[in-house]
Amino acid sequence: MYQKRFRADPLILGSTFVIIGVLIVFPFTLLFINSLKADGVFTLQNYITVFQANRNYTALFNSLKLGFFTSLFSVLLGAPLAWLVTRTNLPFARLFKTLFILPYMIPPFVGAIAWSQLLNRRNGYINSWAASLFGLEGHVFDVNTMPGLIWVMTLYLYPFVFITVTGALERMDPTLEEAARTCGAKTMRIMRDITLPLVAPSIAGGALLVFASTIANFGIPALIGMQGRVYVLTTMIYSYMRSRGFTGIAMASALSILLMSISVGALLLNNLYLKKKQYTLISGKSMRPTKLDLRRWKIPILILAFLVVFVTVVMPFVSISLTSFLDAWGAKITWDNLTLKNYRYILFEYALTKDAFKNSFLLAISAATICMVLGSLIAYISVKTKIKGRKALEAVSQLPYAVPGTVVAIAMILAWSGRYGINLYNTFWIILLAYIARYVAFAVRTTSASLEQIHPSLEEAARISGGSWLTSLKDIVVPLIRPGLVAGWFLIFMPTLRELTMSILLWGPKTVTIGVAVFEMQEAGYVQISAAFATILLVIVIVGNLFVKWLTKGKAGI
Amino acid sequence: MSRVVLENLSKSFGEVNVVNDISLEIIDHEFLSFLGPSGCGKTTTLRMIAGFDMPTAGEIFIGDRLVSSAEKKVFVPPEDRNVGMVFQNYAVWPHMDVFKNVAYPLKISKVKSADIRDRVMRVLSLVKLKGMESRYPHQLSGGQQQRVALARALIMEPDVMLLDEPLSNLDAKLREEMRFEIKDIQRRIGVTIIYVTHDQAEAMAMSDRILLLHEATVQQLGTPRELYERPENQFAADFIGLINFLRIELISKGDGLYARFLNADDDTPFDINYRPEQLSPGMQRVFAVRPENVKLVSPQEGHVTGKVRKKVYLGNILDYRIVLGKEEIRVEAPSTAKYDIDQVVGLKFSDYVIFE
Repeated sequence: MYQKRFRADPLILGSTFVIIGVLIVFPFTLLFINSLKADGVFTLQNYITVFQANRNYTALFNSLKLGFFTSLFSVLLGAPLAWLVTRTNLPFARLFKTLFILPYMIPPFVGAIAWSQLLNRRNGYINSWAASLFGLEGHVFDVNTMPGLIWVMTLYLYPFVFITVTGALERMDPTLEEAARTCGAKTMRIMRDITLPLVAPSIAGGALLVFASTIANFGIPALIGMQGRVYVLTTMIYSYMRSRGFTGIAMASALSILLMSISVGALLLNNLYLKKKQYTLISGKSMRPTKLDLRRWKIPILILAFLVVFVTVVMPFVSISLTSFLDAWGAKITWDNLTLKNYRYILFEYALTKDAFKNSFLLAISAATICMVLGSLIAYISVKTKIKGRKALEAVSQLPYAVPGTVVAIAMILAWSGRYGINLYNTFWIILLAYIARYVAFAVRTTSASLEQIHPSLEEAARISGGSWLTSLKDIVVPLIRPGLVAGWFLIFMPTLRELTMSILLWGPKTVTIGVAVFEMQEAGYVQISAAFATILLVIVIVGNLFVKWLTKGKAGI
Repeated sequence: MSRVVLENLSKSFGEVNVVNDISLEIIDHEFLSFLGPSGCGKTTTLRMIAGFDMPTAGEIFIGDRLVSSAEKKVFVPPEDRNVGMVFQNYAVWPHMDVFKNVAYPLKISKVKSADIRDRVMRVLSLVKLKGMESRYPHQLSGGQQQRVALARALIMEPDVMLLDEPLSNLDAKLREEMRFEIKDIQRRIGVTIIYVTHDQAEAMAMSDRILLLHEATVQQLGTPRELYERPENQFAADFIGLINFLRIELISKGDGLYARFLNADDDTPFDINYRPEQLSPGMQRVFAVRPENVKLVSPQEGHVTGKVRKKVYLGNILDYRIVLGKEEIRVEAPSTAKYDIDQVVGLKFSDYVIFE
């Protein structure tokens, strides 16, 4: 007898489409419509107004300039370092491989705080030290300028180039180079004719990633650029939103669309064009490539490599932790001037800190959990079912991560500030929605990678044995992908815990987050307090990363 | 074109010997194969000749030039050895078209561009790739990429060509076709070729001589016929073609030397005619005979008798399994043979060999 049973799959799978529709499609559609609307009618007026204002031009130009030079210097720094650790006999190459991607782990706004301590005009450590050393009046460096921005941005984003180029060099089939050698080519000739052209698409890919991330970055231009009145698109949008007002949000929407087009354009170029040119270089046999003997250059290059680590990691870290123990900022570093009061203040006395920790942990835990559930469903639909529109669902879920955080925040504000019946503005929930929308892409990617490893017959065998769809999911699929799920959870938990770009636009009096608290204190001039806070944050980030690395046996985390 | 001489060549990684004391002279114009299962040291030996691996001991000469000597601290780098090499995965450069790939060695040695064009065209027509000059590797089939790799190695007119399992990534039909083509090209231009393969049929079909390797040591060096008909040890016999191994005991009977099977029900002695100087009564040995060298006859006519256990019709032949007590022997009989399952038959041996 045919028994009609309750079937869970259409309900659960169907609702996934609805959730993604409400979470992502709705806000982004509104953002697009809103940028085309002024005084209730469809018009290009907003775009015209945007381009009539000189400062918007300047912001756009600055964004492009910053993006271009950061990409350029990231390539000049990242590609040679990648070559050094993979293709030469540089000592400690494995250690350097980890150290060179370490800056990637440091939240960019923490890096910005460190470098404004080191290089600010009035009392930056390096400026004071240089002044006393050479007996100079005034300053040598001023970080609050375009070159300062490029400097800090490069130090935190060059790992993108380093990682992609290292990967390409490691995957490259060594026989391609050996073949050139039997043809009579010497090492330098092989580098020029074979190696470089083969990794060129990866270098360009890394550069485009740097470009997109630079354009999308808020923390660095906000903490370093705004003080020197160097505005870029993200900080311009921020200042429009600060002025609140109806025109402010219209202008912010129009600028957001502009910002989004540039960074999505860069990523599309990478995915559509460069990915295809990234030759399949993997060989069946895994033979080690011949490594170049650096000979007499070995020691100088080793010193240079340590210098890179010193400048990108050690100096900022020392600066921030040192500042966090200072009694008076700007005074000489003496034993009398060292204190624990900053820590006492933020840990036990200041109410805002407690709120920030509580909010951020709650947000990060909820966002990571919800993202994993939602992301696994999307991945499941995309990998394991034949439901129509599954590829579109997956593509839409990736969109908010491709888009700058600032743009996601603006879209959330447009959708959830009461104009369409639901007002979440200034609440915990709007921040959570933004986090979920932005980071669900991570969950989809990690889960679909694990799901693809599971042969359909495993699930089918569970069904044949009498299990329902939910049972087979619970007993077969979830246990098999559990390591991926756990790793994915932490990959979302870590960045949301220290999120700044979206939070700064969405926070309200009761919903301050760690990122916002550090930012606001730094902006308000409580330098030692923000340094103490940033130090604690760095410790959490490092411990968290080590934990993820241990948990995933080195596969995730940096 | 030149000869290649290996003298007491050894290579070890730490404690592990990958190549153990190989001495060999590959003569001018010769096609010589290194044959053996994976891990036997054949690829490492080839890479030492190419200059990608440094020997731990021994010397390598290409022509009369010493290119590698652990003792004399001589090591000529690969780019200065003038050897052509074809890799297993072709190693055709994906960012260069066919013309540029093939012309590369000439560009390195600064040949004039008019001459380059001439020579590239000539070698492309030799490997049947004329008209494909401006194609990129991803537009070529595996077989065509293979030809590009071959052309690139040929164009430099190397002293010796090294081919490292060049056909193993091709499908069966193409592989057979390429075998004859490579052989044909070699015959026409007379280049010395050292060819690495784990495929015995490939080695048999192409080689003038085969160097059979196992566990880093030479098992046998000889022509394909010598390896097949006169294997020098059990490994060589087993690796090339099909063969039966049966344990025997030698006994003397009257004036001659006789053998009887140790694990057979029928232990009737039969006379042995194999290198009598090495054998004497009382010895236990391994009797090896290929399936086609066993003739099924009536029980009275054979050396021994056995019982048919299984027969499989394979078109041109009948593949019989005959039980001789505890052991079984495989026999290839003409497809007209009429013996049935469980029938008692006689077995007549020819061209057998005996190992320790």
